[in-house]
Amino acid sequence: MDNMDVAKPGKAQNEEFLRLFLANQRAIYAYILSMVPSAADADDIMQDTATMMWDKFDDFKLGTNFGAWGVTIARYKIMEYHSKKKRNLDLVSGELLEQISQVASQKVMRMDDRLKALDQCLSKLNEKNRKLIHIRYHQGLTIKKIAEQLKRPAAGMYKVMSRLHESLSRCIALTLSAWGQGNE
Amino acid sequence: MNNNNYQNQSVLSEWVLRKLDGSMTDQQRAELYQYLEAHPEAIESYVDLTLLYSCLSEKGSQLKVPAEPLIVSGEAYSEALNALAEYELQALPQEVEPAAKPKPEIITSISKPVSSGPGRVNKFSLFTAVASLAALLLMIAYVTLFPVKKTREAVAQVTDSVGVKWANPAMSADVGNHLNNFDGPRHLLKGCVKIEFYTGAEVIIEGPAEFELKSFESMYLSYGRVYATVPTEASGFTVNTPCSSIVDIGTEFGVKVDFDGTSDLHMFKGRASMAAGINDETHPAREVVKGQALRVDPSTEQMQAIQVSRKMFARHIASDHGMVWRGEAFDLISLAAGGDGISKPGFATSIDPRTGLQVQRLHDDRNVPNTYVPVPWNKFVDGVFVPNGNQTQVVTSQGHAFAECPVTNGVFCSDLTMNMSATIDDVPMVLDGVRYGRPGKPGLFIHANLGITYDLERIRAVLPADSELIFRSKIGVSEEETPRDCNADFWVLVDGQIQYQKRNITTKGLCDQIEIRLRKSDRFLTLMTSDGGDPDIVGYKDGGRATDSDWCIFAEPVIDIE
Repeated sequence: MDNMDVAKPGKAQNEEFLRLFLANQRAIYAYILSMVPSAADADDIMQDTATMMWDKFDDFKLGTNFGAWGVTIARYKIMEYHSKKKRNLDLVSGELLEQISQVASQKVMRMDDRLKALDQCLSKLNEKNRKLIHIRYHQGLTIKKIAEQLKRPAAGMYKVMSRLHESLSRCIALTLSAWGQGNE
Repeated sequence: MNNNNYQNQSVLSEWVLRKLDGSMTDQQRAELYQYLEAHPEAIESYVDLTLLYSCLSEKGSQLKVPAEPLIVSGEAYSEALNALAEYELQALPQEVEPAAKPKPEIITSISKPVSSGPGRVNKFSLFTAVASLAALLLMIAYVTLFPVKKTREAVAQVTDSVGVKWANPAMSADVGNHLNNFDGPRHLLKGCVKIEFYTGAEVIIEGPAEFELKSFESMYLSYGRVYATVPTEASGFTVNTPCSSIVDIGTEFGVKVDFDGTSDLHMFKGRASMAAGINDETHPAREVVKGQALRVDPSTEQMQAIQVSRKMFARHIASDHGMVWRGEAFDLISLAAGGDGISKPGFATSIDPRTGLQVQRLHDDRNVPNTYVPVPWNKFVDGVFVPNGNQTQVVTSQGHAFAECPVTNGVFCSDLTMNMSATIDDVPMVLDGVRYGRPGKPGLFIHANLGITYDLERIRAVLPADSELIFRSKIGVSEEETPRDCNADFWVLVDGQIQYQKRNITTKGLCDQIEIRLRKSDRFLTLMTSDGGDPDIVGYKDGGRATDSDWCIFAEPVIDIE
């Protein structure tokens, strides 16, 4: 027990990790999200990644890119996940995952800018569309549930939401480009 | 960006949404990955959409939504949702119930694990080669065995109609009906029908017309006229005709197809592309912008520029008022007379400012208090009054006061007159040599002292949402032949605030032009005349009143719409 107590990191290290993790967790999570079949899977992998990052924090060199380091660990966890779920690999090739990983690992490093751009783009939505986004992401209703509540066909609601997301995504790209950050 | 690109982007967006909310089947996932393998340039869009989802999940809790509260429950919740759309559940395709998605947790405390345990073997690289081959085989098998099957489903809903008559009642489209793709063509003999696609595009089809809804984002027009309003999120909406394909790029446009197939595209806002033929890549698409029009000749498939027609298409309908709007300005004289401001001139000739009732015009001096009087029989006119600043002058039913209202003699000598005959008391109404009070040259005879207030909110209610309104009119004192002098003031107020004033007009026949851009928050528009402030009796040749000879006219007053 005494040895274990000695091995525990000090309070300062604990706080340093927490600070870095909180600043980078959205980028790491977004990266994972792009690489796995669902948000539920991404949540699990995020937890595993966080645990491993803490476990390996002694190896991290302060002053280097914590987010990039986290993405590297997340990548390892994602590959581990795909290895376990062989069915996924029947559907997606390693080459494609690698391509996605390369694009996503660069883009997630600008998540803060994306959030700012999203703020602008959301303000341009009309009230009806803003409400749809609110219901989906704030109230947490699935698209199918929203369709049921609105008594609309689910297929139609997916079309509406996908158009809306596509429109927002295009707006963010244009905004980032206007800010000179298009080439992430 | 061509139509295919738009559709692909939209499909990709739907795939990402389904993937992330857990409602994607393995088959759909295979389609997604197959698409990305075949279109590596789409990987960036895929990642962008995924990151958007992540950002929105984080932003969701901070979203500010104006107007009514959103986080509601029970009946209020249903009402809030139902207010968003009028669709009805119909012909739902079978879908996998999405798994409940736990929100990503924000980690606020960390404790180091006691031991990290032995490292696990990463077998991913081992599987990679096998997986690539398996995926390839799966894609080939999938395309071979499961060709894309289009399902019949509700793609749009009828939201309004005016004066419609259908050739086949079994194939009519009544308000509230859901319309499926693959229903076959519908024949609208006359009238106008408004249809909202679930993707957000809205079309007004005017009979005679034959049309068919093809998908959530496309329709076919054999002949007739259609006006499409396409919000940004529905960009790519397509109208195909017998000889052309028109793809929207976030716009408003009209399409007219003659019986011989001649197809015209008229652009009113934004941009669209038009190509001769349908999905015929041998004909390059031409982009058309606001104020331009193109025609495709079906026999030669040649395109030529034509004049855009601003009033050819039914651009807005309001069945409550039996109104079809084609882009015309609203005639304020027609509205005051009980008409619709467009095609119906109205029935009333004059309004008595003491009662608000419609009357036969009387020309006689009457001295009254400055009470604001509502006009309940007219939905567009809020009220009338005889202005006098000796007491607070209220100019709207909401109590807006006209603080700068001048003191007058409190007299009006003629009822407020809309359907002016060519003459008033055998005297023609003339401004700047132009005679008003005849067809095509309407004039509001508003002999001092008089005021009339229009309710802009009610006018906006029959117009397309977010319309920009502009008030335009000419004003002046008529060139009547009596030798008496005039001295009159003209005022235009919005919510009691002065927007225009022309004081002490002492020359008859001079015409001034008014143009006032109205704000969306403006509620009431008041037109008013006053007697110029000169005293009664003194200084007039026949010993008249201050109001004498103040034959004021608002000529061709309209609310124009942008």
